[in-house]
Amino acid sequence: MEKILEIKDLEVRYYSDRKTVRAVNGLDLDLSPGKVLGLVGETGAGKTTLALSILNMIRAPQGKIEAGSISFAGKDVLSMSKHELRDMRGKDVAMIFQDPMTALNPVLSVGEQIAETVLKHEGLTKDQAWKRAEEMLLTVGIPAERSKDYPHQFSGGMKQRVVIALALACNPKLLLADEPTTALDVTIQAQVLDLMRTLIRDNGTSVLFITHSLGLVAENCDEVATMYAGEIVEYGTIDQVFGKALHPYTQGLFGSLPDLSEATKRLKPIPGLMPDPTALPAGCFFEPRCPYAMEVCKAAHPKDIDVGGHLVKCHLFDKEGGAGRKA
Amino acid sequence: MSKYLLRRIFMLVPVLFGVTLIVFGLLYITPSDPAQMMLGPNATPAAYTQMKADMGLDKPFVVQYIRFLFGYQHPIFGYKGLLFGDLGRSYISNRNVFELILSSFPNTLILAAGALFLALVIGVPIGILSATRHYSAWDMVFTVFALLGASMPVFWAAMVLIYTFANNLRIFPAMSNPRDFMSLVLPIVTLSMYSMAIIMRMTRSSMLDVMEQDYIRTARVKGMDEKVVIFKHALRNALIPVVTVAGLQFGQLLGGAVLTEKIFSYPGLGSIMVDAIYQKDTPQILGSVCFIALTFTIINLLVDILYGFIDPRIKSTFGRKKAKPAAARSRA
Repeated sequence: MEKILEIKDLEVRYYSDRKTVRAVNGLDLDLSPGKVLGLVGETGAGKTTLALSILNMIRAPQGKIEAGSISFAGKDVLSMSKHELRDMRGKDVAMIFQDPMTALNPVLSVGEQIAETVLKHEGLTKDQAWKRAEEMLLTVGIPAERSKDYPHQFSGGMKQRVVIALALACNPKLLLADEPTTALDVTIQAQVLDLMRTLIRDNGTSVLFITHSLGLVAENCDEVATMYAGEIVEYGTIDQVFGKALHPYTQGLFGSLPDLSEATKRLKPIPGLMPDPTALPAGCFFEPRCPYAMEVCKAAHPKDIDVGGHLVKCHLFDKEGGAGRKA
Repeated sequence: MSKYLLRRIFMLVPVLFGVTLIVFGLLYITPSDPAQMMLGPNATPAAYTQMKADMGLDKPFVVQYIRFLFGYQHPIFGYKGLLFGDLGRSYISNRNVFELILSSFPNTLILAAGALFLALVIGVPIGILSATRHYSAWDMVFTVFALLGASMPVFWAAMVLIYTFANNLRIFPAMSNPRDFMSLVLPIVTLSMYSMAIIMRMTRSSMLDVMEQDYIRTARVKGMDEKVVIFKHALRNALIPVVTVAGLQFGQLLGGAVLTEKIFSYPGLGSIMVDAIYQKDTPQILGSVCFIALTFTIINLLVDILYGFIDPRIKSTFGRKKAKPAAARSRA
């Protein structure tokens, strides 16, 4: 089956006066049509940068995609013209942001904000576009007559519904959901996720679901990718990863979750911090924090290792280097 | 909305009361003696005392102030009082103070409105350009111009303009009057320079701030053209501080055209006020300053109303008990 999204060797850098931030480092990622891929990682792992790269929206002059390729439905995103990019954004690829409080323009009514997208991409008349906007609001559970209201007249959960309506208004093939529920309180989170699930299933949309919650991944995704310091360190189906996490970092993420079935007294946080993205280690990026670190981890950067369709970037699984320990 | 307006108009009363008290107090403590001025240096002490009594200047401050507000009975120097729109006649020209103000104010208004218009029409687009291409060569050039515009003294700029365009090139006349459009060009340009620089800088910084907001990213993610992003999504959000500054500038232009009017011999309110101050013409000074204070506060009110049309968040606070535009503008 043809992939909807294929990212190869992606490198994204941010430049400041003296330092270079290596935000995304040789990242590979694929997504099949209709699948939901959970992208897990700490704050600062480069998740949002990755999502913005897919839209080719890394802001120059500070940010730059230095290497690699991103192809969406067979087309190379990085070589698209401005015009092609604008046609793709909002129509084929839509994005939901983390904070609904700031994602909507405060001086335009919510209906207007949805209608202008529809107007731009669907070739409808103004009246038809407004009608579509009202329909979209209805689908996310907001009465049509509220389309003339402004963002400040909605609660946080309602605003995120508006953002979802906005993202799905043109039936995108790919949805980039960047921590869509992080800013919402727990009861509203459940509602919003339910809504997203339904709409995604109905439209067959592929989703890159960015989160730092493994719980949300288990509930909502088909596949999982763990991101650390700008690269994918583990990739597999939900069953593979949740059944047996291979990478020490993913294991660490699971270790910092409370387990209800066992009487764990304390959670085990991963010691240390993410490496400084302006000075990444020469070997494995996780080596300084890794409980299983070996000599080879300091020296060589690990490659993806295929463990039965389950990819992991770790020397432990390297046939030559990882003989010392079984996962 | 109308309730908000009424409340705002009601709030003008204490402000204007305070202004009159300050202006009156300042003139009271200034070492000037209108009675002496009226009589000349050779007046007898008896005539001087009589004149002081006639003009009501022998009474204590409070009495004089109350008369200023509520009127003063006297065949020559009497008037109905500020509250009844009458401050009597000018000591010098013997013309009714408010009539003189009303006849010269439109002239000042032409200058101020022209200058503000020019400042907005040039300042806002350049501000937008500087913001969308910030740190580019153009941005640097405009920054230098803004710095010049904001720091050049009006009297100097006016003289340079007169020297160049009136004296050497002979395109525009050096003397200005409201009936001759060509003669208005130089004073309007002079007057607009400072405001233009301020509006340019304010538009630039406000646009820069707005362009970094999440909703601008949302607009780009939706596939909006950059023009739409800038003019529809960013500009309206960036305009609030610009409108505030433009309103304040307009008030200052109305009251502060003094230098420009003097240099171009323009018959505006500023010229009249300066003459009145030179001649210690108390009723004329009081009337002019109160009038300018009134227009200033009215402009501020209009600016506040304008906010509501630009930003729906502020409009919705109009209906409430406490208007809090500042709080509504902080990131919701």
